[in-house]
Amino acid sequence: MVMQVRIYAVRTEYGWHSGITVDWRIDVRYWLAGEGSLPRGSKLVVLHQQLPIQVGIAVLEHFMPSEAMERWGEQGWVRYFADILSPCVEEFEEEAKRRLMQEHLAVAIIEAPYSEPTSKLFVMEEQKPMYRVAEQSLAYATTQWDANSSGLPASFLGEGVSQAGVWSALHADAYRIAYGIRGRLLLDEELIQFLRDAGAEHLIASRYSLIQWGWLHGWVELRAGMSFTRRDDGGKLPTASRISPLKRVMRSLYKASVTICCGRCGSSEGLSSSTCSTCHSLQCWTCTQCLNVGRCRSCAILIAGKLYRGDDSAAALISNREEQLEKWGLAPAQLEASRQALDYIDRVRARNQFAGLSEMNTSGRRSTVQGTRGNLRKGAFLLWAVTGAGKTEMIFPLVEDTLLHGGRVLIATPRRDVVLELKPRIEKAFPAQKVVTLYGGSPERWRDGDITIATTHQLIRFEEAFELAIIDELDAFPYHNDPMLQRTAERACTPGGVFVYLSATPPEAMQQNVRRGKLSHARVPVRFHRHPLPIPMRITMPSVAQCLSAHGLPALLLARMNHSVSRGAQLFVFLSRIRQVDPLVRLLRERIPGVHIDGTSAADESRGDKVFQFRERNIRVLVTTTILERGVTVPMSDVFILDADDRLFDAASLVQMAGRAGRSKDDPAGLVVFGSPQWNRSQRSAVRQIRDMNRIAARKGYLLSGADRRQRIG
Amino acid sequence: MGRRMRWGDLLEKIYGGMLSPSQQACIICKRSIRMNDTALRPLYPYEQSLMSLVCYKCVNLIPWIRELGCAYCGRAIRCPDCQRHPLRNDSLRANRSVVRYDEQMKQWLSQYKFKGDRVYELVMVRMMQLAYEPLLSTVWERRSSIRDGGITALFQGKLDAILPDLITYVPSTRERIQVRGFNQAEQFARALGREWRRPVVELLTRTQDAEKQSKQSRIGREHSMSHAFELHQWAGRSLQEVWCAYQAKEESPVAELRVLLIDDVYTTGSTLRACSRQLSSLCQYLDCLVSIVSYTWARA
Repeated sequence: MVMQVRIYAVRTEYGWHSGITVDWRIDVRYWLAGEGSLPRGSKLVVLHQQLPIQVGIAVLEHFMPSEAMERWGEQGWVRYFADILSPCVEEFEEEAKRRLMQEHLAVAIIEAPYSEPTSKLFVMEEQKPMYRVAEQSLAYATTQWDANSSGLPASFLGEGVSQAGVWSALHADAYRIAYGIRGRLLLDEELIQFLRDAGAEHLIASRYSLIQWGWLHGWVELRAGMSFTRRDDGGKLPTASRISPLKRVMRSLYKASVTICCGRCGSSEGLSSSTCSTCHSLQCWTCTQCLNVGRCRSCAILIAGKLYRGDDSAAALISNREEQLEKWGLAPAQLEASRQALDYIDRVRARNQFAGLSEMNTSGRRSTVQGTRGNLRKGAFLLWAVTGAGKTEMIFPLVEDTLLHGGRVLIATPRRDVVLELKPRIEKAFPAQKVVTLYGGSPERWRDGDITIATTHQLIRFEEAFELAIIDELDAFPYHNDPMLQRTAERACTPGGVFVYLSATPPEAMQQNVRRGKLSHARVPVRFHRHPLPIPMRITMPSVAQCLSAHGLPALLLARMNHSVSRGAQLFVFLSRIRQVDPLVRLLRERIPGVHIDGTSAADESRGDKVFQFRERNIRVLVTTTILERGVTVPMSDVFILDADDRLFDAASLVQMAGRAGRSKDDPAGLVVFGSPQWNRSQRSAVRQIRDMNRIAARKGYLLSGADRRQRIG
Repeated sequence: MGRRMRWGDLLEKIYGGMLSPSQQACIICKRSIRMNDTALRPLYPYEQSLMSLVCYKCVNLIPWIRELGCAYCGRAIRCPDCQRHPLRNDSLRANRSVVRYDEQMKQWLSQYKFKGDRVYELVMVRMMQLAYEPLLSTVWERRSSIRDGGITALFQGKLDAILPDLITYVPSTRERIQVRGFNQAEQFARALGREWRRPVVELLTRTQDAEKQSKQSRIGREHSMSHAFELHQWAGRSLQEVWCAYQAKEESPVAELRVLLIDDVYTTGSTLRACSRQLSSLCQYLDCLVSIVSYTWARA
């Protein structure tokens, strides 16, 4: 049941290689059975003892082929394996350590049935039965896997299958699994869930065999749950000779300085270690950072799908760029930004093709297809669009372009509501494509789509999966300041792919990169309705705490509010503290009678309902905190930010909150009020940003002329 | 060159640790425990020692069992089960639990057991340690420690007089341990044994494990439990050893051997009853009475 690995050495025509296996019979088959031609290898030395994955992988790193291996018999191999094992099991329980000491190790030397025996110590008859056992013990059930559910094109089924019976079935099934999990990074439990969801329950029992077959073909990678990040001088590997005690001490010092990090989310902090009865380690690490999406520990196995689609589909027919842009009906500013982004993506693609080609020529072997991928750089592009600019429409051309090039698209957003809201819009725009939504508890978690809309946390299960990754609101709460999410997003994009960041308020570091010309970007300074952003007006007033204790609000503020209510607008009232929400609601109800006033905050369970009521205009004034600062579009709304000088409101969130006003075409000039005792830096900065954007828009001629605007408003 | 860099990193880590304010995250809610939290007085004095691990808010969530509703199974409310099927029938003297198994505690336990967040162990063991003395003093009499008399007796305190002579735990199947990586009852038992310096002995093995306990109904539990446990193959011998060592240490004859059986949750009691039945059959190896009391972290 539990996944443990074996290690082995194999003699091929190029020399000795090492391998790790979750099902050694598969490896025997792969290396020693010739598929109509010569077998790939001539001799296989399998260490009998099963090892926890982290040990197996560490041992493999120590493997060094040597001339002498040709002559070794069982004794020689046992000694060698004991040597390279001993430094790797230092932190294991005594019992486990003893089990892996030289006296207890055993190897099986397996040779191909019809090959010349390379070692004189063994007689042919001894190896043949061993091979037979391996061959026959693998009773692989060939049952039909519903090919539709895995979404596998029929053309793949015949490919590479030259064996009859079980092996071709195994090959096909392994390929299907590898195809299904391509671009994913899964724990064993998640693989089971995936298989169950794909309607392949019967493959669960034999999944290790399939995974192993995939590993041998380079379709999947196996990794330990925790990996060591080491500094570059990793050249201290043991030779085939015995490891001296001095070296052992050096190694432990070296090990102490190496930091360990989670192989899944990449965190090196927040790991907790404990004794583990699964791997018998005294120090089995568990990552607490990504614990709520499954437990990743040292002895857990991570399976990465590394099967890529051929790159040659890039020659697909691309219609005229302008036509392609035209059909989405974008406003001029949006059009310009999309065009810039597309040009950038084209440049990245051209660069990568060139790099890929030159790489291909220099090293002519098959395996380099994957080697080159690592060298490709990822591109990044910032779409800096003001609030209400129509970001979703702007990404449509980019999505289409990538799909035409045969790529997969990811749209990542911090919040689940947005995922659900985006889905119908994307589906409507791309009716022919499969759109998959991923969030905690989503039923489509294991499906495979052309367009994936996901919350940022779900990206932890992906690796190098998407050619185009669109990261929405990268400065918003969970993504901002969380290196784990940033790392996983980074990883989800294929080498040579492109990130497109969407934001109205990019973080300072990114703005700096833009100013220095390090980051390509396009700015959309105007909303889709081509009216300028409302400039916040200032009301000097006492702090909310003072208002509440004095049980009164300044007359000017009340007058403004009354005015807004009477003109038929919906009022957002933003506060900095949750605990002030309810008292202020009571106070407002007294002062503005006859109007339905309500409040909500992160602590409120009926939040979704209240926001809905607010949209439906049943609630006219909604008192809230920063949770509603983005992603909420309510037509005809005015915004009041009280305590705007609070340190919880930085410039970005002030801009976002101000961006709630005047979003609709019918009421483009909303009212934004900053109410505070003092005028501080973030408020100044927010107002400046808004003014800047309006100025740029005016200069570029995106704004409607004054007469036009008045006419529109009527 | 490279090595010097690494030593530098190490020193940086040490100095950084010394200079940065000691900020500790609450094990439960992962928010940092603020310094002024410790100034807040928890409701009960012994909760204070939890405050280094858990923040004030989370400490106050703990539903301690402070008054026993049932003197046998340690439930906080009156318990009809124990009148119908006394624990004595299964030679279990009594059960004591630290907390009521409410929603909050369920969440803690599932975080620990199913999600595998091992740091919870620290809190749970500490809780079991803290509540031990008040709870178990209602079961076992305090032994008068006449061994040395005088000053050492003063230092040994009240706790020592009711500590068990032997700690054992409810076993788990091999497969389960393989998947989960640990057996929670064993972890509790070992940690308590370390703290109290009492021997922890593996006396039982689990033979069957058809369904997960937490997914079963009462009848199903009773039924599946009845044959789930067997004595460990060395159980008799290890018990004998402990007994001999104990007799050698104690000068006065001891009336009974006190065995503490540890588990995480007491729900219907069928697990603990089954274990205790098996344990009591061990008595034949000994020439004295064995008093088995189960001690669990939670009581449903």
